[in-house]
Amino acid sequence: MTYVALCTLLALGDDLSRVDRGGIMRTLRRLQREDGSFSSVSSSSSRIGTGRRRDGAGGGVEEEEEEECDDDDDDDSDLRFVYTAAAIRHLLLVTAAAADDHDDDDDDHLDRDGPSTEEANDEYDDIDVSSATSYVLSCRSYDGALGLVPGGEGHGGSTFCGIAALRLLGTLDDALLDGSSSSSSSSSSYAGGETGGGWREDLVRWCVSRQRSVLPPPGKTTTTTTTTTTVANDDDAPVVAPAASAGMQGRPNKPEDTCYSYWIGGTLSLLSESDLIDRRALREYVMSCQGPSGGFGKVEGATPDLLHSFYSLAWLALSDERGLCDANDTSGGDDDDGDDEGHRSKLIRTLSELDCALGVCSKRVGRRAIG
Amino acid sequence: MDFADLNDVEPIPQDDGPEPVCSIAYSPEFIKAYDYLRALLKADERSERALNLTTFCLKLNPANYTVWHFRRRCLISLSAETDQTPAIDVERIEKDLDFADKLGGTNPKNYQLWYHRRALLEFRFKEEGDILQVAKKELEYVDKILDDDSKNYHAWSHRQWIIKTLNKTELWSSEINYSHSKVLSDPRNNSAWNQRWFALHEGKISSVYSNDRSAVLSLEKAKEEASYALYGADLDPFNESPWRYLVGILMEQWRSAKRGRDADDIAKVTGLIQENIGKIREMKKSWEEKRPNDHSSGSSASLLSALVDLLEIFTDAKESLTEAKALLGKLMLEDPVRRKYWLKREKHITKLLVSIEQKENNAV
Repeated sequence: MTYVALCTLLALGDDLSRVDRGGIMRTLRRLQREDGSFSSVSSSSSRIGTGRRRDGAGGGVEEEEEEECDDDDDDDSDLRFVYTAAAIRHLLLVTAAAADDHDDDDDDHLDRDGPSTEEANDEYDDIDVSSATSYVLSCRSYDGALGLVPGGEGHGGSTFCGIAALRLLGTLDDALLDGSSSSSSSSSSYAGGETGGGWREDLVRWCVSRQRSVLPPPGKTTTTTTTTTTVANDDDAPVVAPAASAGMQGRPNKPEDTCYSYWIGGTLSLLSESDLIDRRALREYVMSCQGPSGGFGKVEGATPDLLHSFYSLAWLALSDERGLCDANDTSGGDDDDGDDEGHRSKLIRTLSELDCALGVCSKRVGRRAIG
Repeated sequence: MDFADLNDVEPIPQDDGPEPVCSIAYSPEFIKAYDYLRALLKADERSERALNLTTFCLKLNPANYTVWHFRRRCLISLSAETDQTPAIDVERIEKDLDFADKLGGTNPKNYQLWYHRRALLEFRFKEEGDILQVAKKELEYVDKILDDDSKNYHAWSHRQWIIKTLNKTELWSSEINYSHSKVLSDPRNNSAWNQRWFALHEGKISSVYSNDRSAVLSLEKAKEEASYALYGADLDPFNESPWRYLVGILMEQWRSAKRGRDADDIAKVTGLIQENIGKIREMKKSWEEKRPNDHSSGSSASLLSALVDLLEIFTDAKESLTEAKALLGKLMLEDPVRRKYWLKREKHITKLLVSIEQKENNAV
């Protein structure tokens, strides 16, 4: 709720100057558990913890000693809340810092990643970034994705939460190297290397695999496999049939759902790998989820709702990186008047740039987008 | 609901601010109930009437976490005092599990309901009595939920929580059987495959990536699991789940062996991987023979992708890499939605091959 409130304030153009940053950071610190995760609810602030008891109507009041704040641990503490904690921290420490330093032209405040713990500690209590990172990594599933809790099945939502959290905490780049050899070494295998490959590769493969298959254009596959029809370069690559639609699923063997275009598409953006999916086909899918009166439902024909509308628009905004219509795509003109495709692309380009990790418009955050 | 016993309470209206935007159209009953609840919350009255009020309020909105939390505080306060540790009477726990079940009927994906069950069980597991029985009863409850929706994420997580919390050998091994039964009834149930992994590893975390050698399966076990995965894949090679399970099992072995740097271990694992590569090649051949004209795509991509991942482990093996490269070419055509991804993988392999060739030339 705090994350939602802060994002709402920013979306409404507020500068967060009236927000009790210190209070929130103290609470975040208190909510962090030993394993690095975060409790989701701070009960002590709701005054249920004063230890007073009262019997039925009109009974006497017994004052007891103030209870310890075990109350704070009375709700879920999964990856969703590492994400919200990381986002809140980022909004308060980085956005606030950027707002404070009006005359500061120094780009240090506009780092891709959040402030270091040292910087944060100067003014406010900070969370334990290292243990939060460890917790995220402990949620890795055997297929490269992240579960909601350690041991949990890899899932698009939790994967985004974890990756975005690491980006916001400033530990994503190091974490991606965890377990793999240096990716710049040409003798290292993509999936091999010192320890037989890395998490980064597995994660990318998992994300990319979430896009539903599209049938190949007729005649493009050969039955003989003795010679390959290796494509020389991207420009000559055969084009997927126009208007092919392929959405994202949240887990293997589950149906497509438009919100996963953001969870999965967003994760790939944060990894700078969004080029690897078929963005055009994904866009077709997302647009097919648009209702006749506007808004987006989870699948084609579903009643539109706020959640799916937001995540559909969020991905569409992300999808416009470097222009959705690749120079290589021959179907549909870029700016042809009267051409639906071109018209649609134009509209998509009018969407505000989104800060992928935070889920708010970049201009509201007052800094370069993350991811 | 009869609000008669709340006559002495001054209701507190919801503060929607001076100019409400997108106000929710609550029913008069909803407003009344929550106005009273706010008053009891403020007074922190943890009484029977407060408990009853939370029942009503939760039926109106089962996702209100504040009310759930207050309900639990009431349950604790109304229960017998046992030294200083908070506790909830067993009868109240049973009753509330039942209450949660009734609310859960139409809300199988409500986070607060599942958490409430866990909160109650945490108390229950501390009480006297056959805890294992309690756990089994709860696992049966979850099984009922999975009957309706075999992939309900909350349900599978709940099973994991119960088993991990009690950490009994019997539960770990019976969960392997449970996962197997779910795989049999639907081999495409990815949650069931994940559960198998979880149960076999006894909940130890991310052994594929971490340095925790105690989490890694024995080579023998890995061999069995690889066979199991291939058996699952053979039921339908287009099914991604068993392939990723297979690769996970083998990668866990490979990475652990490489970290350990024991040449003997590495050799044994290499053998296991090569053996499985051989089996996959056979499977591929046999499926292609059965369906020579069928290129319904994305289909065999799972098989090809797994084969590529395994072949690519051997970065110095020219033949393996060449084979992988050819497979990637096939993938680019048969799985066009991921064409750019397969192309990137292919480019990487080309680099490796060039590097090998350079080494060979230098050696000459």
